[in-house]
Amino acid sequence: MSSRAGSALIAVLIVMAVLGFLWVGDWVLRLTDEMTRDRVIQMEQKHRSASQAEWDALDRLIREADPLEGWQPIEYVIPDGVSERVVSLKLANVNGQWMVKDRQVLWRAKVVSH
Amino acid sequence: MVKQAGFLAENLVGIAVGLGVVVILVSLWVADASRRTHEIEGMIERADLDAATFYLPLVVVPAQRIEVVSRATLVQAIHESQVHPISSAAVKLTHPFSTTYLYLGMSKTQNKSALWVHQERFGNTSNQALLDASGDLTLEMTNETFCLGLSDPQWVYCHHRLPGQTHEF
Repeated sequence: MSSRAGSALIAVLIVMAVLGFLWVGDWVLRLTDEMTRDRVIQMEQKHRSASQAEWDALDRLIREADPLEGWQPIEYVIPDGVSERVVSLKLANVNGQWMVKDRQVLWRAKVVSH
Repeated sequence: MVKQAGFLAENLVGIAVGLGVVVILVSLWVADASRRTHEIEGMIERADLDAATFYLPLVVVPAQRIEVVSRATLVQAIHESQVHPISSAAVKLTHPFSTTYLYLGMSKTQNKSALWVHQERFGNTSNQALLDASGDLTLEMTNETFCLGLSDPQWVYCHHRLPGQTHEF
């Protein structure tokens, strides 16, 4: 009788071990997927914020610029999450309207310490 | 004799129960494996799209001009390439020292259709398949935004115009 109970216990343990293994495998897969998705969403949000920051920087530089001067080079640095976006442009006031041309972008690595 | 028959019956019952458990476990494993395969296929597809989401800003953010061009214009620009364009239009990104085209195409070595990137820099050209994609390539452009959409896999990448950029459509 005790030998049968032992066999049944071993069988139950084997079933539980297999199900547990499958469950943990599944959980790791989902967790990895969720982390990757979060990272991509964060990256997209950082890019959107960087775009807004570019327009804000341009507005600020336009306020500081001399409208009587011709094409004048401007530069601003925007952190976009993983690096810094260094943007150089040329700005001029043509017939009362500010015009921008010659966009050039460089990504400068952001040095961080852990 | 009766005792032996009893042992035999017990063994047979034990084997039957064991086989039953094995069948249940195998069926569980098979069902789980097929579901998992399906999920992993989806994850790989999504990983390609994630990689594209990381890559596209690298070519779109520094662009001075973003425009939608016809297939005829694209063919003229990439005429020496082994890639055969299949989308009716393409995106042309003009940078200070290079030009990049994004379009759906097929090549002899990769006969599955894909989103291709053609780059021309100082006369040197390169062609890279960014991700497998079939169906249609949708390009929507306004003065403020530009969106690139794929129907299979379903995916949309949008870019908001940045200072110094012009959209032509």
